[in-house]
Amino acid sequence: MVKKLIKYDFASYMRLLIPIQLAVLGIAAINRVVQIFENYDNEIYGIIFGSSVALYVISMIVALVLTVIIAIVRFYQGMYSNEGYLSHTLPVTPTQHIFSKLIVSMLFMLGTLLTIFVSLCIVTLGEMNIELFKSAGFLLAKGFERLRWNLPFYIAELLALMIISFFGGMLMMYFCISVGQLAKKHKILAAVGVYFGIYVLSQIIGTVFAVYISLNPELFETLGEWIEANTEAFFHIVFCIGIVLDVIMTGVYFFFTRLLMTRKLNLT
Amino acid sequence: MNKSIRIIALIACAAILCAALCSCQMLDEAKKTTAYFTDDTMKELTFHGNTYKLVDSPKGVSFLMNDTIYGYHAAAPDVPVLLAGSYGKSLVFQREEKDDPRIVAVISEIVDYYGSGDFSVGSYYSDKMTYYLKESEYESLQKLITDADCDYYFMYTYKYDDDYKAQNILLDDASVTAVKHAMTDGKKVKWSELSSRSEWYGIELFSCDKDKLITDNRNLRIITNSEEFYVYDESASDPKAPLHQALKEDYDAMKKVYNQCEYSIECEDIEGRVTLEEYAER
Repeated sequence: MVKKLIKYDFASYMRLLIPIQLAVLGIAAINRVVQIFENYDNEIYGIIFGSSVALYVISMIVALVLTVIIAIVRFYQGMYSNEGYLSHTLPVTPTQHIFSKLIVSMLFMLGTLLTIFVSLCIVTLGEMNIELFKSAGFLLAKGFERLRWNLPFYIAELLALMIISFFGGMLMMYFCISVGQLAKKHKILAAVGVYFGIYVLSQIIGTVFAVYISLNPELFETLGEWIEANTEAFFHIVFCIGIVLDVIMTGVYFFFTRLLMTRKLNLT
Repeated sequence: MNKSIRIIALIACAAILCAALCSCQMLDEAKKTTAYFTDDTMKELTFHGNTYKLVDSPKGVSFLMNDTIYGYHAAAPDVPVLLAGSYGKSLVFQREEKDDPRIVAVISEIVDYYGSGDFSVGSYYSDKMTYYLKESEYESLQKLITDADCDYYFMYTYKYDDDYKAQNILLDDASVTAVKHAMTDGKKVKWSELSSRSEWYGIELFSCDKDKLITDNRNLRIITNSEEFYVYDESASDPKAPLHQALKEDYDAMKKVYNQCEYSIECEDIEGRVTLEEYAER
């Protein structure tokens, strides 16, 4: 059943996102074609090229933002709108619902990132493309030369952090929607309110932490000295703390979202 | 339907092929401004299709590299052209040889000249530069620098308009005689006696060969007021001589004033024709 759920969600995402991703690729192709007539001394060329770059950047941002928005909307529609009546009668647990939505949103986010990567290849098609890859390889080699085996670990930690952050971010949205649906009216507005509440709370915690550090100059200095002496270890620690915090927050959001879906379902 | 898909696919393929084969101005520019060392020994570099060989210059002797063009780089062979600016060293050559430089210099160390407060503009980079000579001119230029005959002087002059501009004025025989006379006798010389002059600011004289190609970096400071000047050879003078002391005191006083106004636009005055006393009174 979970497979069917994923398949259904997949089809729904495809209908919405494939045209956008094709548009990104198309705009990238237009940008590359414009570059064939490259002449920076010509003002008209400058305007056309500038516009095509702006359009391309906007299309990339739109594709990324829409992927997230569609993931949120799909969750809301599937769980708490009319479609929710059907979803919750299926022989699928809330955990499976959440995971199916998360997996599909993750896959489409990867799809969008891949589209952006391909579009960048289109924009720089030709010798520039080769030079960019050469530069990336050179920088990686230089990075490895300097950081030795820390580099692959940094990359692995960063990737893990990004994936967990994505799941955490999505689950936070799911949590906000799940809290928002408890309201009798204006459920979406309530969800937005919850989101801002969480945002403000996290900012307050961050500020309190920063103030605490700055009010303790000795701690600040000791920390600074330690970072200077152990820069490589410091980044490992930062990434690992980030991963642990994100895992905890992801777990908390998952737990409460599941709880609300199990015990406090309030369909319209 | 199939036919239209085929036509669209064909057009797309043609466009991709066209784009792939097209050059890129930014990349072409990067290639044009990048020289590559042929190996890690850095004894040779290729630039604009020509080979340049490292010069073996006697200590203290260097090629004159004033009014150079910047924005060029010399990089190791494995550095991608797009990163030559970040991972390469600065390469400079004379503006007048822009199209086909005979001598290029790699700056081995970037020094913040304006932060140092030093007077000697022209020679400042000389010991931070490594010179490379075009292969076809290598022997003649190498001979020139080995047998350095720097019995002439040029005045390093400059001015600020919108941009910093420098010009080296080679002193003619009469002017060289006047300068040497001034040095020997420790007397002031009237500017009017100097036939090789410029309206630009000049505060230093440099030794050079008759073609103004090389210098042995002996530089004479000019201490001046609106009508006359005298020169001061830091390396040649006997520091105990009263004349030297007198000159040095003047020089130090001038430098003190210069340092006081270092970051002021009025600096231009003291480097020009305003008397030290006049300036000190301001």
